[in-house]
Amino acid sequence: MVFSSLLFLFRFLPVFFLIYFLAPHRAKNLVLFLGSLVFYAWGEPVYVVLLLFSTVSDYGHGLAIGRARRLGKEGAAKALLISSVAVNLLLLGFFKYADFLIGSINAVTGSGIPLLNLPLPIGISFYTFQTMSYTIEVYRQRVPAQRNIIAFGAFVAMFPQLIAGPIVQYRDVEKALRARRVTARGLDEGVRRFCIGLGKKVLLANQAGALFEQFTGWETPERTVLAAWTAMLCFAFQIYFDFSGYSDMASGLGKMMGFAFPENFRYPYTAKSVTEFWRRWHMSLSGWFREYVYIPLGGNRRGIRRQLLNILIVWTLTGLWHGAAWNFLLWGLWFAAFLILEKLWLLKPLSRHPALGHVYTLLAVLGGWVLFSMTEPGTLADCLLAMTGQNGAGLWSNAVLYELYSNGPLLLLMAAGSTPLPAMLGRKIAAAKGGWLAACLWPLLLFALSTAFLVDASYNPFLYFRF
Amino acid sequence: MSGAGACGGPDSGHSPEMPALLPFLAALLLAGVLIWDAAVPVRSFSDTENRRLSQWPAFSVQAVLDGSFMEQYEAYVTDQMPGRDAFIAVKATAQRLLGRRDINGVYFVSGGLIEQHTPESVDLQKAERKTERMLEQAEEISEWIPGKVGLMLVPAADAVRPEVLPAFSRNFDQESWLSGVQETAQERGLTVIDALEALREHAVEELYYATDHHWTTLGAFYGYQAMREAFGLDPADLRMYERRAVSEDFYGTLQAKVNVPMKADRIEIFTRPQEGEHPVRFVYEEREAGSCYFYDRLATRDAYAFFLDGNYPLAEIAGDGPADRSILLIKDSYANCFAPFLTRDYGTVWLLDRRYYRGDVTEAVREYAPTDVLYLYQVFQFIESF
Repeated sequence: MVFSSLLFLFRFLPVFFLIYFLAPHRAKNLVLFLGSLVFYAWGEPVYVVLLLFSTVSDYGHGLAIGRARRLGKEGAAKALLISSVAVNLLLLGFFKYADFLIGSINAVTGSGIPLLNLPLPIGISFYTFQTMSYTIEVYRQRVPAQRNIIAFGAFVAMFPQLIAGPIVQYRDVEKALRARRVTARGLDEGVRRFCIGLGKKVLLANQAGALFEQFTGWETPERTVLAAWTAMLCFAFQIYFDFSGYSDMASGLGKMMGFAFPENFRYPYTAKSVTEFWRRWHMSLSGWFREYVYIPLGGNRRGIRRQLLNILIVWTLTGLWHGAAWNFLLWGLWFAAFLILEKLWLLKPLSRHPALGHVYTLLAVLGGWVLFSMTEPGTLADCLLAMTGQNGAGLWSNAVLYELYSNGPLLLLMAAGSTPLPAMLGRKIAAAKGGWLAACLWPLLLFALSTAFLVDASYNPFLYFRF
Repeated sequence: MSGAGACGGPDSGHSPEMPALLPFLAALLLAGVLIWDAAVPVRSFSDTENRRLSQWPAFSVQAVLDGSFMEQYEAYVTDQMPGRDAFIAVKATAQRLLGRRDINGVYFVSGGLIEQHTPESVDLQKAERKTERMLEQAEEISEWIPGKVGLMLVPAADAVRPEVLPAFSRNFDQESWLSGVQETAQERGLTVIDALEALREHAVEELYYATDHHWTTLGAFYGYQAMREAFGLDPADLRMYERRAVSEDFYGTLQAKVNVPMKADRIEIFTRPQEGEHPVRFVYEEREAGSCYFYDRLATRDAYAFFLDGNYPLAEIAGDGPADRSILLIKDSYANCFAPFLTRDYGTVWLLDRRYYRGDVTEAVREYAPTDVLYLYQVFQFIESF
């Protein structure tokens, strides 16, 4: 199930929250766990077994690691941790990367190993990362092992963030799993945040996505330089509003129940360097890699050469995390190259010229989206030829001018929406006399408008579903 | 659309005075929709969208395991959403307010809607095939028919009023395609009626419905005028006809596509002095009617079917013209409001729609032995369906 569907908004959401609010304190985790299983099984009636397996595996591993640590059996604790991580990586490796590996081997050696053609279990990249962080933290003795399997199941399967993040670490919600309260303030903020996220996804991301699809469907004479760049701009808006909208919705749903999820985005398109961009984009993922890969590898403490190697490793993995395909690997390496360049030379001069830094960052990010969005080598080549005007289509044609004319205000709105301006405006209005009413009504307006767009939607794909 | 608000960050405007108000209103909204949903009966068909709506899916363990039950249930919830039409109108209105010039393949222009036909939407090879098929058939018929074989391809509205189309919009060049086809037709001995030229002379008048893709009765009249001229008859005079509105609240197919509130169209009929009704016989349905006009259709969603009751394989209209003069139209829906004009000149008017007619067209022409034959199609319907 996805949040941006009438099914979720008008069936799952009211029924779940009605039961959740009515349930006594002790039963809330159980309601959350079972509700999350229904939510997951709705889209993956078979793979829900995998989710349960992962839950039971890490629950057991966590308990055993905690016990070994308490008893001072360091070797056993380490072996158990390795076992836990191995189970998770094997799950991920088998369901997500096996075909990529087989395909690559076939391509290189000319062998004909048949592909498995397994559909990717939704959310597997997210929940395996979350459960790994749990056993690692238990091993590091930063959190106690969870004894209650219902509470642990509620953590793993928690539907708000199950299929698209943010990657919630166990320590973020440990206290809340034990005791949390539904408060008017939490509900207010949660509903508000959810409506904002829904609006981002349905009103902006889906429109941007439809435009991107339209542009990429054009034949060569219309694939002008302007069209190619506008297409990539649309993709940039689509992926940002899609993903950050989804994170907002997750965060809002969490707040309504009394959870505080980590922030996942902080206006990434306002960044003035690629380094800064990655501190603002998908923060829960970069945080995870920093904590569990980069720093254990030595981070920046073992000299610059080792640091650059670590960056390269982390970004190879980050790329592959986004998808089992060569273009995602390239995408990761693309950013590794910029991060290394900045580390070595660029950061200082960039900080002196923020405007230049902003333009440079947007270009680097847009270039990244080219690699990200073009999953076939052929389409990637076509796209690059079009963007550089080498396909003979010229600088612009009426086709793209018409779309800019007809969708210009929408694109400007998206540009404004990528900055803190709307939030500032919202605060101003809320602070004004009578503004509280507006602040109260506009989330509902967004909700109603989103419903209207969903009712009409023939176009409602969700980008981060397959990661 | 207040989409700008949609982009508010994590900490946009609070309402600390009454933190419970928003959650309360949100719960009220959801409960309201659920009650509304439970109260309205399940619909099986949408007139606006002209399609069947999803129903409760059949439950089985197999259907749950392969996910088809969930898919169908979701389709059911979406299709049965209460206020569905109103929500669609809200979306279209929001898009219009944000400056969109087209929705669902329909342009918003001053004075109404115009169907969009981009160059790439037309399969030129297919168009060529259809043209050749039609020309061969027409040529064969013209060899033994006593009168004329006419060809009238009626342009869609965008070719008649290009100046009202949105800036930079790209549209299939009907004019040059038509002139190519018409030139060939002329060379091959057909009587060509240049409807585009005839309509352009009156471009400022209401030649097409604002809410529908058909031409109006007035548009059809100018087509008829051009046909008389091409067939060597004295020109038809608009002043000879009495124009009468039979409906003031016609909403057509284009309005259904965008579904925004707009001014309704008027459906007119033109009658000559002392002109009576013309009985119609639907040959294959073995059904007869006393008139070309079907008033009960005006109240339905498909009100254009007022003319000749919509679609049929073959119809025969009794005209006021000489009994030994008859005409057979090989046609699409554009001919339905056009045919009544021909009752002035012919004793019998045959209307044959190839989309529904199962037999051989040339054989039919032989059988009914009309004096004249006229191919009457709208350009895109011709390419699509001939």
